[in-house]
Amino acid sequence: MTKKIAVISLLFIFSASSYAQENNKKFWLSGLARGVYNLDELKGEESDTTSASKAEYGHTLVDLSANIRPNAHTYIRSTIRVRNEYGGFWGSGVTFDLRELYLRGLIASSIRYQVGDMDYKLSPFTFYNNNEDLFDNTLDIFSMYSEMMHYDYFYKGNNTWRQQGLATDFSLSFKEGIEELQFNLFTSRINPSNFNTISDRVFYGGNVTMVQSAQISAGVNYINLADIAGTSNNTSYFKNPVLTGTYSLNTTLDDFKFKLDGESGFSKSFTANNQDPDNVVKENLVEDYFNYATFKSVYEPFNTEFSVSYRNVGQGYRSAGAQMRRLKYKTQAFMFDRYTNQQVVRPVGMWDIKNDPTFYNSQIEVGLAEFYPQYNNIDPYGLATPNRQGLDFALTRCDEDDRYSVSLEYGMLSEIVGLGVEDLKKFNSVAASLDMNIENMLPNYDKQITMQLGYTNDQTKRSGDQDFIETELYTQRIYAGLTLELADKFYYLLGYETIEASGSDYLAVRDRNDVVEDFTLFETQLSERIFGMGLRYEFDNKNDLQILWQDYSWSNSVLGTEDYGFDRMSVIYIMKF
Amino acid sequence: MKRVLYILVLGTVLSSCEREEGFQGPSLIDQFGEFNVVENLQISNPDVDFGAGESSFFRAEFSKSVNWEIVIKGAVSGAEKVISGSSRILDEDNATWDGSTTNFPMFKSESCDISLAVSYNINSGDSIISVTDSIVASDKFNVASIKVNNGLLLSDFESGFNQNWDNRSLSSLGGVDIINEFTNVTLSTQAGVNFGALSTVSPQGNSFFNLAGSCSWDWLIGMLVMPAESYSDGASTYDLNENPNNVYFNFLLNVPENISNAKLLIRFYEDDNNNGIFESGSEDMYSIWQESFDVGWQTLSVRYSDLEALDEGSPVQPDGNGARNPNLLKAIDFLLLADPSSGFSQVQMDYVIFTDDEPLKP
Repeated sequence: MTKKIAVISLLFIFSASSYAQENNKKFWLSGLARGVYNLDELKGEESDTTSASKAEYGHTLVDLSANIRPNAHTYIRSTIRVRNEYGGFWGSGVTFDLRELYLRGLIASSIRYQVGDMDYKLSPFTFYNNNEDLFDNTLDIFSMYSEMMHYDYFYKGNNTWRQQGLATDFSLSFKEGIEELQFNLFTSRINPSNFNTISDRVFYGGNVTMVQSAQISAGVNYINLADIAGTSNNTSYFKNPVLTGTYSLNTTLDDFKFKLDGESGFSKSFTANNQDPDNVVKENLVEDYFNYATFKSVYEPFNTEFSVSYRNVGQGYRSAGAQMRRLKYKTQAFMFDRYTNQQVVRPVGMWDIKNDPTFYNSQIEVGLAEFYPQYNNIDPYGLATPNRQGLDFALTRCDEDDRYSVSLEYGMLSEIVGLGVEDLKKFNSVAASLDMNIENMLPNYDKQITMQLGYTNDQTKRSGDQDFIETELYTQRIYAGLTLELADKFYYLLGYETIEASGSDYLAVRDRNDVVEDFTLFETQLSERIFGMGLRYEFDNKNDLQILWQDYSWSNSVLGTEDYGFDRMSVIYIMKF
Repeated sequence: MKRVLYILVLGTVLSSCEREEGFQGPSLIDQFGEFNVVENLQISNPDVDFGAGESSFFRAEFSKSVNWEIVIKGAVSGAEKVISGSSRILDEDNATWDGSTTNFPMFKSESCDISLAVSYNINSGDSIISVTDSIVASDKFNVASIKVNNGLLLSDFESGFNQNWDNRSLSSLGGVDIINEFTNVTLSTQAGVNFGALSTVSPQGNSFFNLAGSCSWDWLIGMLVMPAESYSDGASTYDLNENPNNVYFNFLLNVPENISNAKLLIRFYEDDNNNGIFESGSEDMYSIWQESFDVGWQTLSVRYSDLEALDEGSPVQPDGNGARNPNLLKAIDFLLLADPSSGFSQVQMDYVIFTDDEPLKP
């Protein structure tokens, strides 16, 4: 039945399209088509005769968007996804989904609104989709996989979360005193009621920003993740209100530009027990505050920016919209989930995070989710990571002729309260990256030669007067990539990335109310390497074909499991229209 | 305007509220730290006079939080008081003894032996070993006089059977002739029926009351009636607080280990119209029904407002005004029942007392 509806919908869209073309673009089609074919080979112990060592799989899909503009102030978009798994014939393995549907418009030429699906964010402490671990500075050759997953999960480049609900924004202008008051409001539904024990849960809020001038602005953000009373038989309602204030000041002095941005606020998280309406009890109350400020100075003649940021995020600060992780914590992967003759569970690694879409979240959830300390033990929940205080420094320079850009970052953070002891963990991080456009350094050469180099080193350390208090965890990531344009729009891609993590740390085990109830000792001696090369041909800026090969190896002597590796050959074709 | 904003910004950045200090989660030191005694066990008042309202507390300090247990044992009575907790420091807040008893009999004026035992985890290489109840200190303690329990004591049976305990309120009950024979007999055999005070190892003092016997033709083996008039002031009701939430009925109870058929019914007769007569069917009678018993002497305490009118063990509407009126309580009786086919049954009791505001802490 679903397929019939989808087919009829497609026929309608196609027939309507030809009609619409003749009516001043009241209707048009757009979308994306993608074909992916992977051939994977597991490289475990040679004596493994039990595990299948090869797998070929892939898919083709089309996202077909109907764009409707019934009048000058209204726009409707509906996207249907047709996906066919590689090897699915005559309807087998074919899925039809309504991928997105929204309507947006303008009321009285002053109030914008959007109903249905929307991408939304506020600030890094209220509502923000932080990048996943290992994503920053992704090499060109590996970016295709993350781009596909980001597209599928609606992770837009500006860190929005895909929501379904209603949003509106408008502004008021003033003749004197302040320039403008900007209002942004939204509401979305996180999960529906089952009319028994689970209540409707909604996420709502917005901000008001006062723009005093080009130099000064300040604002207030408010969000609340809350159960709606009366939508189920449950008399306990979760609530997570967050209120923050923001400010931005900037000024220019000779060749320097200075800018101070900041945000401070507080949160509460609790379950309101309404069994006795005259005496509502707040159970499992957790509340705290944060302060964040960043000062930037730009020296324009050198196009160089220096910034220093201070943050103090309390251990009880809870903001589900900002602390939700893209990456799920999984111990089992989709591909080659077991290996060796004993069929043990294959430990997951960087390769799975970069390639397996089942590792990603699409919706806001409550609680501080488990994370991968071997990849990010410092701020797994972004800037809003609770129980962190300290400074971050950054120095960046972009060459005015676009020959290179370089960045150096140093972070020195610590806990605010200890975990299990009063001694605090200290977190130090160093990151350096260099992007070079070598063609701009060579005279009379117009083919792209891009080189990416990077190094990060994270350290978690706690000292104490007894052995069991002391912890040390190191993570080092080195990456290097090359993109070489062999002929017009025809590129050779090369990349190498390695992660070494070693040491141990006590991690918090939290109960369902996010209270630390125990600790687990995390130990690792991890070594991962991924090498890739490939070819890419860009038919145009919306249409390209890539043939990629990756070789990956994983080892962790602490776990006592066999080392393993993968080879992958991929053919990926993407067309946007 | 700019100045205001600057002040706001600075104020926000520099503002800091108080946060809880300490650490999150359970203590790692408690889990993995080395155990040692920082401060030996000390007794704040080693010659304590509980009868004069004194109390005594213990003090000790360890290197990490442990599960600790202090056992105070009477050298003469054999009474035991157990104070336990989980902490790093023992002090007045968590280790005070008010003269009460955990394991009967109750304390006498006597010397007591004290032992302090702890249990904790130690980290031994890759594993954690639990050290269980290791005694780390011992001492002596002298009780000059025992604790006084305030309230209306109906009997501690130290002076034997009270001849004023009669059964005139039971004239309507069947088996009255046999019941008359229960009083003041000696417990020389388990054949037949015998109800009376025994002077043997007692949870309090030297005597307790023994309800024992068998009846082959009825569930009721026998009963003890304590009318208010049987006391020296001769009033027709007990001298109790009128607020049922503030009155607790307590007594010590024991069913010998080999007895499994005993059932105990305790009834409270209220003279609702205060005319000196309990009128069955028109005045309230509340009950306690016990048919499962732990082994050994124990304290049974019931708040008066929690008493219920029962019919064969099930709650029913009271016959009178339906209000719990402890100040109108006219009599209490204790009925020993058992399945007629099950033979001999036995319940022992001691120290029947009403207390104010809180249950008895013997």
